[in-house]
Amino acid sequence: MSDKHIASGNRASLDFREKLVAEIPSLRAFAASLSGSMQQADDLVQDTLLKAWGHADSFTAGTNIRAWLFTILRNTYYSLYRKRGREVQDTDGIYSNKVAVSGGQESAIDLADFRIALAKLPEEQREVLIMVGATGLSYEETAVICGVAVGTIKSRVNRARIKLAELLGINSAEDIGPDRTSLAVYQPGGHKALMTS
Amino acid sequence: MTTTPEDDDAMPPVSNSTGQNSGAPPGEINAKVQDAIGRALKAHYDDLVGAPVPDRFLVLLAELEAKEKRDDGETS
Repeated sequence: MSDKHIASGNRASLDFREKLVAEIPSLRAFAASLSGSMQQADDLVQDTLLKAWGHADSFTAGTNIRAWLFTILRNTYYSLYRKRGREVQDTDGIYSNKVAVSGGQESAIDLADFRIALAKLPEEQREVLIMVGATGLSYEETAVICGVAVGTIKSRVNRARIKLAELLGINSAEDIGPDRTSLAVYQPGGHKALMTS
Repeated sequence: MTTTPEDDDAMPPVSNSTGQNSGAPPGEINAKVQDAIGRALKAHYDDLVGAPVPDRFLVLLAELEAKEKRDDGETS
């Protein structure tokens, strides 16, 4: 085997496989956030891994492999998986079955409530909110992945936050419980009177 | 993908039902609300990232690599 052959593709290095393996949890989380379905997410991830392997030569070593993989996954989703509507239509797992799973302790918003609201966002808003707000991708990387201007990404993120706040009924700081550990959204005027009676 | 005009337009006004929210002006979002959404977003995502990875993916990549090694063996 010649040196040229060894250097001929990213696939040739074991390193590439390890990089793919390391990104699987992020790919699944992004795919599930996009599709609302864990089963569909896993099919999407499988397609993404196959395409990534087949097109390993198009990955530029030293660049962000997550951004590259997200681009493949997103294109696959929009060309093959996307349903007619812009909202998550059917949630088979992540938004319904696993709602009891905590995660809400660090947030003033209940995780189950949040997921229901997130699923109601238009997908162009949901995807950028996830990418910018949770995956560690920059606005610039997100803009490249989505094929739009950075300003458009910022605009979508902002509208997504406003829409979420609206859906969750938290338009002002008063609507959020003062306690960071509170699980539920504070209900103004709830049962305060009972405490003094 | 085309950019729709609305993308770069000003934000739509936020409905302010009580009219007494100490929050941000219309089109912007209160910093505390934004912070809470940010943490919920992380909680949602980190919960999914933390889920165990099915074996099928590791098996798939191992198979792809094995096949490539076989092919390399045949051609060299």
